[in-house]
This record gives sequence, C-alpha cells and structure tokens, in this order.
Amino acid sequence: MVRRLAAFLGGAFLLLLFPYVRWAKLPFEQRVFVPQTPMDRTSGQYAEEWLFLRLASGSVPRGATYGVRAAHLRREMSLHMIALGLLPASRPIPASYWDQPLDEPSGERPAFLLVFRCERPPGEGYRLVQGVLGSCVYAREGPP
Amino acid sequence: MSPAVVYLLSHVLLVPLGAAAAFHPSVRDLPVAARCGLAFGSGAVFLTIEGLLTSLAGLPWSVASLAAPLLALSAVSVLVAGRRRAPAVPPLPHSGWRPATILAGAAVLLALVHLSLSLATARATSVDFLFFWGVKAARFAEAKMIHTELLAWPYFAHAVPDYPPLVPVTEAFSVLAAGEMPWRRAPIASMFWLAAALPLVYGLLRRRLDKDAAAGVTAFWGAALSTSLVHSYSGGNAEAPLLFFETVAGAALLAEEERERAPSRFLPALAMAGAVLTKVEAVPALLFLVAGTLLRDRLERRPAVFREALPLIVFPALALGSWFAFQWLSGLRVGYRGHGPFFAITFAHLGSIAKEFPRQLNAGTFGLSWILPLAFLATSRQFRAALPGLALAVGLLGFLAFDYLHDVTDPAVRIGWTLPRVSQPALSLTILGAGIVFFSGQSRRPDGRVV
Repeated sequence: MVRRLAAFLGGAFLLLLFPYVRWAKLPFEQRVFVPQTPMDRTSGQYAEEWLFLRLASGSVPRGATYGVRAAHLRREMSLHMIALGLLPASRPIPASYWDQPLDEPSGERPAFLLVFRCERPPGEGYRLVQGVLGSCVYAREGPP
Repeated sequence: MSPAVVYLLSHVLLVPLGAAAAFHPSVRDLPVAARCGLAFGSGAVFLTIEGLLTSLAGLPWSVASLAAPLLALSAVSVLVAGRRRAPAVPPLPHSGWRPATILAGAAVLLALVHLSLSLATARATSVDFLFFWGVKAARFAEAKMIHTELLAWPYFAHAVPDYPPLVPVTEAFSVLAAGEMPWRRAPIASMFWLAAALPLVYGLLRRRLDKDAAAGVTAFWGAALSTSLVHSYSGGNAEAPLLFFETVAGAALLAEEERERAPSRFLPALAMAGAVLTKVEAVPALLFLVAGTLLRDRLERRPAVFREALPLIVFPALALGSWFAFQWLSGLRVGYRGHGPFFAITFAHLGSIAKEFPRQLNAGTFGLSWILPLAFLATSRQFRAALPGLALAVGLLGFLAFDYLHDVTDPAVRIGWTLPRVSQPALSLTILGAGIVFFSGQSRRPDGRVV
C-alpha cells in the first residue's frame, strides 16, 4: 500500500515539476504581471487586435452601427469576431466574412469604421475621430 | 468593487443556486467541501435550464430574477433535508490529517496556484473565449436573454451557434452582476471548476478507497489536469466545465461498490446532464461511459443492470432535449452540425492522425500524465473496476479520430488546435480508473473492509 501510495504522490509532484521548470526559466518580471490583454502570452496577433478594439470601442456609442476594416481579409475576420464581444451593445455591419468580401446589406454604411493600422481608410463621407495605437477610428459624416 | 472582482465572486453564488442538489440523500455522505463543489456545478445546470425557460417566455434576465427562484428551491431543499432525522447514507468517518494527506494537499494547492497564476497572467487563455464563448455571454447579457437573432445571424456562424448554452448562460449571469465582461480577468473563473471538482473527486473516491489512497489519486489528478488545462489554453472556454461534469459522473460510477445493487445514480446522471449542456462531444462521451458501466455491471453480475442505468440516459436526454426544443421553438436550426457528410471518410488522414495523436497528447508533461496511470493499470491487471472510465477514455479518443477522418483537408492542424483540450476528460477518467484498480486489494474502505 505504501509503495503504491508513493507512486501516486510521487507522480503528482513529478508532474508539477514540468510547469515549475517552465516558470523558473522565465525572467522574474515575466512570472507575475498584470496583462494588458487576455492574449498577452498566447497570441501576439490577437493581443494587438484586442487592444486596438478595446481602446477604439470607447468611440462607438451604444446602439451605433460599426464596421471593422483591415488590409487582409483574414485579419478582418478575427477583428470581426473579437469586436462582436467588445462592442456588445452596437450593431456590426461586416464588409467581409471568412475571407470573402460582402456587399454592404441594403447599401447601409456603418456609423463608425474601426480601421486596423489605418491600412484601408474609407473614402469620402467619413472623418477621422480617433487614432489608437497606430490604427484609426472614423465616423460617418452627415446625419446619423 | 471592480467589475472583475464582482464577476469572479458571482461564480461563488452558483453554490447557493445549486444547493438543492447537495441535499439529495444520495450525496449526504460526502464531505461538506465536496457537496459545495456539487452545488457549484448544479447551480450552473439549474441556471442554464432557467435561462432557456425565461428566454422562451420572454422574461428579461437580471441577477435577482435568475437567482430568486433557484434560491427558493435551495431553501426548500434545506428545509426538507432538515426534517429528515438521519442521512440515508452515514457520513464518511474523519480520521484526521496524516502525512500522505498533507502531501496530497500540498500537491493540490500547488496545482491550483499554478493554474490560477497562469490564467491571471494570460498564459492559458483560449482564443475561443475571445471569438465566441465570451462573445455569446456578453451579448446574451446585453440582450438579457439567449439572443436567438444573433445565433441565427449568418455572420455569427463562426461562433458555432448550435453549441449548447451552459457556458454562455452562466458567464452572462456573471456579466449581469459585474455590469460588463471583464475580458482580462474572466478566464480566471476556469480555475473554479477545477477547484470545485477536487473535493468531489476525493469525496467520491473515499466511497471505495481509504483516505490516503483517495488523497494520492486526487493529488495526481489535480496535478495532471491543472498542467493540462494550462498547456491546452483552456482558460475561458468550455473545457474546464466539461471536465468537471464528466469527471464527477465518471468518479461517481467508478466508486460504486462491487457486487452490490447500484446506489442512487442521481449524481452521475445530473453531472452528465451538465456535460451535454456544455459541449457537443459530451454526447459520445456519455454513451461510452454508460456502455462501460453496463459492461462492468454485467461482468460483476449486479442485478437490474439496464434498469439501474436508465437515469444515466434519461437525465442527459432531457437536458439535451431542452436545448434542441429551445432551438426548434426559437426557429433555429435544430441539432448539431457535423464536420462534413457522415461517413465521408478520407483514410489518407490516418497517417496524420497516427503522427499527431502521440504528439498532441503530451498534456504539458511529455506524456507522463498518461504514461504513469497506464503503467499503474498495467501492473494491476484488473481492468473490470475501471471499465466505466476506460470505456470513456478509449471511446472518446476513437470518436475524435473518427471525427478527424471526416476532414476535407489534412487534419494535422485541427488536431493540434483541438486534441490537447478535448482529450482532457479521457485523461481524467484514465487516471481515476487507474487509481481505483491500482489500490484494489490494498486499500481499506471507510467501513474497514479491504477493497
């Protein structure tokens, strides 16, 4: 019984060595810190997108329509998915979905455009209202 | 108080919301911490059923409107239980702290600290939390109901709208309490599911093993699964709740005594109802668990094997039926989507599957989390008692391989994304099954008899 118990208990501590070694290899300041985004240590790409959308969401009033734009449609898809959560009280008007451009439904244009890295600035009818970490937030001009 | 603190604390409120289950006569032998863990999981199940009903009825959600009926149910259960003169099953004897128990407690504590720190420092967040689990919760809370228009919207198809609602509903409840989704801190809540499962695993194992053996197996289970949850980036998604429910169901069935009429199967049935309300793959897992239980019971010549197994099917079927009925009544597509037409199999994928499975089952420990319990099993040579757990483990891995064979393109990348997390219930029940048979003939039951 004692040997069997030692096998299980020893196994438990052996398993815990793996995360401990990974943790010990980190520089001290990396071990415990306050993350800026939920993805700080899992995906740099999504962390950057999340931070932009988080900061940009302050410019979009509740109930307003918005769209996300990026130079690459794959990135536009991840921005669309993340923005749905960060702007739960606003209505999205996607310009693409799963890497396919879409016609804007009934020609409706979003009241706000969140443009990642300012790489696809909108044409006429929009004005820049906020610059966020090298990205841009535009608002549609004219009556809402 | 910050929204993040309120969000996390509101998860603790699940305990009183689900307390009715913790007063069922069949679980009154469990330690208080285990019954709190059960109440936590049951609170999520009850809240989900309530969320479905109120959404259908058009009653807008608030913390008070959701909590009040369940608190009333809990109060009635406490009153009824208080009138019973003695529990149906005598409580397990307490024999004090021993060195093995203290060591096991230290291992469990280290496991929880590791998981909590990893979640708090954004090392274990699931990208699916950002893409759909958290999104559904934030938008359900905003709509104050299950947002069926959102689920039907074609540009929400990426968010697997057919997935069952337990995680979005329980998270939406916390968002309502906090006033917003605290995206950076919310994944920490995944730790609660492991913390709730640990005393339940220990308490259930104690029905069959002595205190030291139960503590040793629980410590190994906690170390393996906390490491795996971090390694597989399971923070904020549905993996930790699914692991909780399937583990509790499996542990309850594994802990049933040999050659006795099956005790009440209220607990495993309720846990499997929670599992099928959490994720799609709980359905095949349930079928394998029931098959393993039936096989064990037949081999042990227990009476009324099929009748005793009925609750294990009926409870989850009712739970799943409630979600499908909601889909139907809300005009949503009913059922689950597959990965392509059924049996449209590409056998050329077998090479990728054979190559990727060993690589992706390393569980953050170079596979030791699997290798050690399998070695313990091999030395025991008595698999019968472990059949419920082993059937789920082998069956679930086989089902996943079968699913990957349906991919149109090489599934190697998808295996890398999904297998480390969806295999966790299989790892969990392999460990518990190994623990049960490894200590067979060595451990003394609470009544002093050798197992």
